[in-house]
Amino acid sequence: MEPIIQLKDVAMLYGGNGTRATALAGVSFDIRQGEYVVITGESGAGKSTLLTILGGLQVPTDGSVRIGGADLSALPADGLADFRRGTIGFVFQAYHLLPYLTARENVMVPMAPERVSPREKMERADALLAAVGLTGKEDRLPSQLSGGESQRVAIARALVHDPPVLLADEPTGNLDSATGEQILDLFSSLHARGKTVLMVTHNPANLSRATRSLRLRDGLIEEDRSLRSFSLESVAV
Amino acid sequence: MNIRKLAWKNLLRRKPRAVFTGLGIFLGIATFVAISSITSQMEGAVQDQLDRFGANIVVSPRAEQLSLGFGNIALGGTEVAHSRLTMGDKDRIASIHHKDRIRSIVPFLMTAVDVSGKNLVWMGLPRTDVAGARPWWQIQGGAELKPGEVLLGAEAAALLDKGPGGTVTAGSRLFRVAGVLQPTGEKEDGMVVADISDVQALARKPGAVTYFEVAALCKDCPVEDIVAQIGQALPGARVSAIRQVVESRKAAVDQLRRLGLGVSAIVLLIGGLMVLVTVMAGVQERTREIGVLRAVGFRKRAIFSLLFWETGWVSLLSSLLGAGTGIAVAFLASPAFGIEHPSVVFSPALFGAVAGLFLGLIGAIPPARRAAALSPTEAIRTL
Repeated sequence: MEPIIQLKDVAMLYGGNGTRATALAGVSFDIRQGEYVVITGESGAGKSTLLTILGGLQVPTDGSVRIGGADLSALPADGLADFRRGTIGFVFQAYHLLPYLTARENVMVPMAPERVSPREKMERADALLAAVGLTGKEDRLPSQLSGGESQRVAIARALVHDPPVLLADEPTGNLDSATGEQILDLFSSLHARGKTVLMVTHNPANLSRATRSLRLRDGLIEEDRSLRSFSLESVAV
Repeated sequence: MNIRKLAWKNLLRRKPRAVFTGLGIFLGIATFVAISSITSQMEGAVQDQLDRFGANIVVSPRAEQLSLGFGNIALGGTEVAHSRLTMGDKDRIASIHHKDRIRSIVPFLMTAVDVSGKNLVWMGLPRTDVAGARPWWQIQGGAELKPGEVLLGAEAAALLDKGPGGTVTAGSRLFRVAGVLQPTGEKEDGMVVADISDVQALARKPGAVTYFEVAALCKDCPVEDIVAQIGQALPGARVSAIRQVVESRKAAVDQLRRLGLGVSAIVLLIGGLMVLVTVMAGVQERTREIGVLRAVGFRKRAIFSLLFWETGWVSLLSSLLGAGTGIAVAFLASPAFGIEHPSVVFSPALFGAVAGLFLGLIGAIPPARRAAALSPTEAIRTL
């Protein structure tokens, strides 16, 4: 079966003449559908750059990226936007909820440009909030939610279009350990339901839930390790 | 949740910025609507005043100047009329095609008759038309002229040493002085004013008329056409439009309107620039938010649409508010511009509201394009 994510010799250089910095220096790997991959590494190793390239937010200066059969470097700007909407769910460390919208409205934001009835959008948002354990808090503003609850809203927002791939950048970085565990439980349940999860993290404790770890160093993969046996059949696709 | 609602929610979150963005448009539209409404009503007021201040067409017998001389000796000149006007001509004037535009036709007879031993010019006109034909006359004593009564011009009264309630004789008749005109600076200061039938009897010219004053309602109407039609109805008459009063007043209104439009244009331009600057600054501040929206799959067009709707809401509300304020200001300020019966003029308000919305959206295009063109990478770096 063709991997859902394929990276080949992906390089990313920043800056111009004389000030060029290498974020990624030729990264290649495949990820199969349903894998739970933890990406670790020191600051500046290229983790976040890798995540933005995987999310179609930037195009590498060299190499190719194929996700779900699509060659990202061949897609125009709107094509990349459609790709992000349909294939990728982003979860950020700082949640990045819109502060003037309620939890329900934040979940509905990705559907805003779509011609879907308001009732259908609301029902879908409420169902997702229920799935992340926020029933009864749909009308609360982010300022009225705890960090863990805010991150749950962000995860619900990422799941609006039922993407096959979830990209998370330090999703527990702003949370205490107990709340962080709850969020990781949520990712584990999503993985168990067939989502491919790629999570950038500094926390070694996250490794225990992953099926594979990629360790970056100076823009290169220093270690690609399988953490536990993984088969497509083990997850409900 | 859709783009419109998202835009509206963001506006509510940043009320001071929204108010500042809309302020320029509000002021521009309010100024435009107020000035346009006032000048528009002033045009009507000019016509009202013109109608009130008497005729705008004079019908007199066609006459030619003849120079008289003998050898090298000039003997002066005389006017030779081709025909004479009569009271019957009033009906002929009233029968022209544009008769519905004619407000009044007042016959005048001018003649010189001895009054109590003084030779004075008499002005005869229907006594019931005095107030309408000469509304600016200020009369000491009774303003209403009754049969057998006269009004004396200020100089005539002084010459005759008569005042209201006095009597004068002319021919074999005794006339009561109903009132004395305050000085007007015109020839009527030296005249005696009486009912035209009395003057015709004194002059022994029954039915005679020296000229007619015609008041035509001529706001946007073809005065030249009315003049031509009267000329056709009375071939022997000279028909002249009194244009200078109309033209000078209209010129004043036009100047005021041009000034108003100029001021409005400048205020609107400043309003448009305010929209551009504030929305541009808003884009700069919201790089992170735009990054999130791009990350969750918003296309460039959706970002553009979001910014456009935000400015659209502000422009629409501030335009409507500006138009309403402009109407109110125009209504309240109208008396100060000589408009006695202020009315609400909706057309400038409608135009202003549409123009304000259009201007706001035009001002929003550059920042909206900039936001849409914002690289997701650049936006996402702030996340």
